[in-house]
Amino acid sequence: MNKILVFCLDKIFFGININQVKSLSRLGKTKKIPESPAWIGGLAKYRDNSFPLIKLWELLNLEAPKKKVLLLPTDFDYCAFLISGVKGIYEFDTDKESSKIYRLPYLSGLGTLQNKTVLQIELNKLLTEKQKRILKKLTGKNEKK
Amino acid sequence: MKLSNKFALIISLVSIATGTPLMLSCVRWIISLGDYTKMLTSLAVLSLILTGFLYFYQETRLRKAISGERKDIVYDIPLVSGLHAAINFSVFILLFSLIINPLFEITSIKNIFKIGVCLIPIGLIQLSLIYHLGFTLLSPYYRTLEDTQFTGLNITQKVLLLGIPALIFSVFTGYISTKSWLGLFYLVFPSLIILILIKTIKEPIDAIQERIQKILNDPFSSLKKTIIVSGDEIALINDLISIFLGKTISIISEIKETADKVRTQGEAILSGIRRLSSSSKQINNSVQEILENKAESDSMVNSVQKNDEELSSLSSEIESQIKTLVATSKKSIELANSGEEKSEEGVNKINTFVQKIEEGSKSLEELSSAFEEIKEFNSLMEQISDDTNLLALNASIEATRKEGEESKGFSVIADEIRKLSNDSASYLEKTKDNIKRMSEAVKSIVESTEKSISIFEDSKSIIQKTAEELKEISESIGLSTSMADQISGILKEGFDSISEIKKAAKKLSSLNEQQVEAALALSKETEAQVASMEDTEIRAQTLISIIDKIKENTNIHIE
Repeated sequence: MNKILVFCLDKIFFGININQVKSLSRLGKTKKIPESPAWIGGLAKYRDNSFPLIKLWELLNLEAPKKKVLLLPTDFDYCAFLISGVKGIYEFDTDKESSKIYRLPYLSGLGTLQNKTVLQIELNKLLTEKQKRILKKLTGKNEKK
Repeated sequence: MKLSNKFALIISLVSIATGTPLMLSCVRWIISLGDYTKMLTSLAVLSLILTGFLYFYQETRLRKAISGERKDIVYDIPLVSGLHAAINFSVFILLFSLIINPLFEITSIKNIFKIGVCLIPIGLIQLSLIYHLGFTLLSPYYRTLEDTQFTGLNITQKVLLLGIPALIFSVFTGYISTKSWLGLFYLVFPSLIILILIKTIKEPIDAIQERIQKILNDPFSSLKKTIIVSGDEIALINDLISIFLGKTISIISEIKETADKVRTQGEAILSGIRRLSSSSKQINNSVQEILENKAESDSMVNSVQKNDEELSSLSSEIESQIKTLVATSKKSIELANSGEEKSEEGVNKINTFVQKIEEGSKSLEELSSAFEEIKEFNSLMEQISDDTNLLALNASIEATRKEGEESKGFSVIADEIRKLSNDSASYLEKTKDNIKRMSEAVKSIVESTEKSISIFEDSKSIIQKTAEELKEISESIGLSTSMADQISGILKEGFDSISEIKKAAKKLSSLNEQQVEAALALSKETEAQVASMEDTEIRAQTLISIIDKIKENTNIHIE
């Protein structure tokens, strides 16, 4: 059984293994980055560090939410993600094999919570190499190894 | 003695008187008798028989002609009489020759030839004599007849009829008397002289006849002088005709001048007639208008009379209604005055009420602003709740990372925080609902208050308007009361005027009738005048055309 952080974007339930989540935070003030792509939501400060913000809904081609929550990943510190509709942390199993049908690199499994399908995603596989390069250029930081 | 008797007697006597000596000389030549007594006795008897026969025959014919029994024989009488005489004497010569022949023998062929030779001249002489005499005698009678037609012989035929027998007889008697052809000279000479004389008479007569004929055919072309060389009365007749023609020319020129004058007069008359005709038509139109107006005025008079009766019945009703109106008006004025006062009171009350409502409204507005503040506070609380939730989540995440007792501690904290967050969220939701409802209630109160204020304002204005209208009504009623009094007075005057109008209408009616009679008489006269004018116009036109013709003719021929 995995502990999964469940959130909702555009009525679709997504799940992230909490091992990949460093912390969640309220979105404070942000700074705009000029000439940045649409999926970058500006720069935000968190505990004396500033992070470029990735609009998860833009990466997944979904509708923008009203309330936004800042998610800091565990595995890398060159960016933070903006998610919404956090439901909570739940323990349930996900099926890796059935998720392979969709052939999405970031989709790691499919689970069911309260009769609803939860798509488990891998944060480190959400961004393409090109996107990562753009972010690295912006921050000058590299992926942790 | 009747005309027929006279005519028959004259012809009989003349034929006997001329025929007998001729016959006697012829018979002597035929049979060469010396016994004059026997011959004269038998001649006298035969002559009497012949005269009687001629007389009765002619008398019968003439009587029938004069009485109109046989109109066809009127013009044949002279010729038939002549032929009768000729045939009688021809037959008589034959009989006489036989009577005086003692042996009653058939004479020789030579004698029969002689008898034949005698018969022709004697018959012709008798025919011409009796014909001329008969025509001369009957001419006065012929002139009295209508459609007189002289169907007798012309002058040449007459001359030949007289001349040829005379010539034959001259030749015959000259030869018989002298028994020599030399004797013919003494007989032919006078005959030639007679012929020349006849010719000198005939030519001027023919010329005059021709001239008169020309005048008759075309009177104006033959007015020039014609000279006839003759020393007798015929030349005098020609001169007289010339004088007559000269006078005729002068009369014609006078006629021409007069015709010009008459023409101008005729044209003037014509134009006058046309003007008169148009005036007459206008008069007729006017008469028609008068007649139409008469009908209209008659109907008006009738309507006036009818309206008069209706008006008299209406007048009493109007008077009673005016009285009622005055009484009602007074009551209405009183009511209007009291209404005005009450309206003022109502307005004052509304003003106080509105003032109070406005005060309440202000308090509500203050309450509404307090709610707004609470809403802001709520959003802050919501944020805190969210943060708390996030804190709980972070604690849970941290608990999974830690191990052992540390993990348990974090998870307890996380649970507590989550509970707190959930509770605060639920309380917040409830508070939000309550505030929302209260806010909506306050909003609706404020809206209804505003509506009430506007309604009160409307009511106030309506009451004020009503008060003003009541005032106006009161004034109007006052005015209408005075108007009613005035109307009453005017009605009385009106009725007096109507009675006068009625009288006037009667007068108008009688006047109209007189006018119509006069107009009709005028119309008739005008129509008659128009008819006579039309007749006169036609006559004037005819006169002008006649004058033009006369002028044309006179212009052509009088130079």
